[in-house]
Amino acid sequence: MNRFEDDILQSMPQLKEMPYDLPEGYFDSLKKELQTEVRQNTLQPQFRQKLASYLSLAAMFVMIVAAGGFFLEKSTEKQELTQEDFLIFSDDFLYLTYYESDAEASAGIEEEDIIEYLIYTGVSADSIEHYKQ
Amino acid sequence: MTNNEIIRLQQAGELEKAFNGIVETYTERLYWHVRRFLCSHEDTNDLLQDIFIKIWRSLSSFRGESQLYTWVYRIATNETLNHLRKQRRNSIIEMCSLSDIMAQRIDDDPYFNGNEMQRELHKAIQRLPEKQRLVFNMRYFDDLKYEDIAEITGTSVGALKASYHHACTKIKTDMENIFL
Repeated sequence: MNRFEDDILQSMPQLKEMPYDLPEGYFDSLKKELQTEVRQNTLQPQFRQKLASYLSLAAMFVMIVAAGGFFLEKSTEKQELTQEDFLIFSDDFLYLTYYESDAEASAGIEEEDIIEYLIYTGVSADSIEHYKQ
Repeated sequence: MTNNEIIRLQQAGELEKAFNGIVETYTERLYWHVRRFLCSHEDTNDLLQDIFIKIWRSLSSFRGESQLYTWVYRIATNETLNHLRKQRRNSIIEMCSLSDIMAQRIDDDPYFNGNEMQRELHKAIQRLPEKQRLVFNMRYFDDLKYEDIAEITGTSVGALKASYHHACTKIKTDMENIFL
């Protein structure tokens, strides 16, 4: 090594010292800050994982409810169609239904009133007699 | 906490404890290592936090192929040099040299408490090329071995010795011009 380093850089130990002050307690607070930051960094992924699992559970629940609702709707729809089909294609049932409902509808109404109504709506007397039999 | 204790914790998967050990052991050394390059307490404080976050994120991948302290220094050095390169790009835009900006920072630093010789030494260091500054700081201030500096910087020991010699010569010339 040359003379200057021997004379200056090596012979003046204070040159090796850092000529700067620091805010009071800086290193202690920095260490705490770093350790806290990392703890949060460590916890955050755990929280994210938990949140993701809760969200996937919620999504699964929603899917199950939606699928259940869809199938329920389908089966209800099918039931209604079956009844309609039954009503449309079974004349006997319709006939029976007609009479049943007619009997129910005409409950408490006098026969004379019905005949008057039928004459009023243009039904012939022969037809009335025929249905009466 | 010793380096071996930190490594044992890291290998046992106790990463948070290992990290806390690194923080306890290296915060001050890394602070001054970075501060010598950035010449600003605020910038050093910000960058040091980034460095430790990087250390934390890389800790699980530390395989013990290098010494712990050269691994820690390598991360700190790379981050610091990257930061300086960004500052250099900004200084080009502002049409002034980075060494002038650093010299101004040293002059304006409210935390400076040294004498004129110390002030001029730190300004002279800022005028060195990057590699010479790197080896001078680690050799002169931190007393690191050339072999360890070689591991940190990825440079051969011979090249480092040559760089250190050139750095000392330039600093000597600068100081002589000012004080003799």
